[in-house]
Amino acid sequence: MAQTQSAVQVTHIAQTHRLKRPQWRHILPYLLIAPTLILVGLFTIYPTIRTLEQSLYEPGASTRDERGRRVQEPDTFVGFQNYADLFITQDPPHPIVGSFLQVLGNTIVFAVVTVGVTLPLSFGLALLMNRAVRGRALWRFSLFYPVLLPLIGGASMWAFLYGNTGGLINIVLRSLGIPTQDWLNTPDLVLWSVIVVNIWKQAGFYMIFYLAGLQAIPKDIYEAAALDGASYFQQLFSITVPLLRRTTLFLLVIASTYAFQTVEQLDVLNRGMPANRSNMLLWYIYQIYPSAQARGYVNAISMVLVVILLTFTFINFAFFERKDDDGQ
Amino acid sequence: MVGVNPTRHRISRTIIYTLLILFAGFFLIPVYLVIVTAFKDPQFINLQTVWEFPNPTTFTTDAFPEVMEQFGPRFTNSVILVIFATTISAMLGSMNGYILSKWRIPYANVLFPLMLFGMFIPYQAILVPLAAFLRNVDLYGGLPGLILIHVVYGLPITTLIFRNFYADIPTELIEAGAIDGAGFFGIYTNVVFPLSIPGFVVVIIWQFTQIWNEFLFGITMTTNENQPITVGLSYLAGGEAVKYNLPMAGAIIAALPPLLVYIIAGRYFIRGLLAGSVKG
Repeated sequence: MAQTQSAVQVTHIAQTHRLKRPQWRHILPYLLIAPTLILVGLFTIYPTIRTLEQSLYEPGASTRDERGRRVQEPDTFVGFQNYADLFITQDPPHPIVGSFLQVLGNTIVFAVVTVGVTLPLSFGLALLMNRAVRGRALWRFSLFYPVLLPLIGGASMWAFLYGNTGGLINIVLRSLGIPTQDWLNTPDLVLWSVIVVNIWKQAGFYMIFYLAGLQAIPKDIYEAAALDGASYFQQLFSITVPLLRRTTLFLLVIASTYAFQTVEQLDVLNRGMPANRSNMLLWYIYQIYPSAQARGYVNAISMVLVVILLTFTFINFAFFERKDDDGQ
Repeated sequence: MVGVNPTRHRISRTIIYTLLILFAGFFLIPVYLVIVTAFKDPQFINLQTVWEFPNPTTFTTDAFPEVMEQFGPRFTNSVILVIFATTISAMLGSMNGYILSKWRIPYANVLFPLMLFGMFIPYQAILVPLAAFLRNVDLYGGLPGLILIHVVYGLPITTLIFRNFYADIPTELIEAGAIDGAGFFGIYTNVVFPLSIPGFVVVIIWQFTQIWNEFLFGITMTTNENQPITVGLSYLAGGEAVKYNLPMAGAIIAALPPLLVYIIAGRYFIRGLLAGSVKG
């Protein structure tokens, strides 16, 4: 009888012996998982394909006929023209179109610096918190709370700190006799000001994952290493770091995905200005997507963003999985 | 540790606490400034007094009712949004995780990566066709459409977390349930679900903070009266810059619900991570 055997075996039997009539319990898992697959497909794969398709077209002009009715002319197929347009930096046809290369550069710097600083920082914070410190919950909360706030709220706090005349940072600098800076309006500084906000926002989150990872490492490994005379830093780099590789992989993927996906702080921190120096791909897309004329261009940018992110994810997985094999 | 030199021990303690204080300072200064500013009359907020604590002359709570009025329905919208979207995505994620880890369905090794593919798509990058799609199914502009978006985009991560979590539940427990005559749902409700509480806590905190704090979908996929609180917050920050107490009070109000969730469930969150729910 089916009930006397394990669920796993039952499915196995169903596969190998081909029951004559399909049983309800074998179809059920598919029925339950189907809505998720259909919805995720409809909301990710379908729009991605549409974006790819529309990135090959020039949108038709929207005109009015003699009765004043809106007439939408059909789109024209232009091949890779929209992608070629991305590299046009002079004589922009639209006030903000034409800055793609600048914006792409900003986004890459932002992602690399944010991930590159935040992960080691949160690892360091986790190492500190993992020591027997007094009031650990309080320390942890004071490092973790930015994670819980809406980024918009956090960014408006920082906008206040960065203020040119009344900002706290400049007040401190002035009292120390150091020249003040207009943090959000100086082209060479603005991206770094945005990066600091993101590090502040996310370090506590990744710290929690590292802390969990650290606490899962058996203590006797360190005791054995200490008996062999390994110093603290030798233990750190030959035990702790390698054992937290899976955590690091997970965080690297999550953190880089977030770096490309979170841009709402720009709404408060000078909206990508001055001169697009703090603009990033997603914010750029958001700014120009309402413009019907720029639709092909926006879709081309969107595809670039999709491809960058997927490539990055695949490289990440491939790199770390090969390392896992080496370790075996 | 055995045989540690007490002087060295004291030095390392000092270093640890100094570093902690420095970092905690970097993390806490903004929040200090927010609180003292939110409770101050804007006419007293200037260069010299910006980081003074409010005193009887400067203290006022006027900013809070004013901000609530400016938020309008957006606070309630966010509450409805986060409750529905978090619950639905957690329940479906749990069911998916159970199926993918404990029911060896054929092609699971194809279905699961396909679902994960959804996780790495920068959803916001495909705003244009997504908005068009929502218009076609008549969900554009309203709260149900926004709930659906957050459920769908939450599903890959909730499925991933639950799948990894259930992978650690011994298969013998499932088999024992099957021997007792329990079916698919019986095993889920009697065996799997009761063991899932730490997994649910992780997923709920994750989803709650993601959805409550999300901005770009909120501003592009909803009409004015259906916007979430983050959009209201951006209007405050972009508004008249003289009344600095308003964005600060707004930031406090918007931060309270996620803070509350963390204070109630935070210890379980970390326990849930330790239980191996998020291994990647």
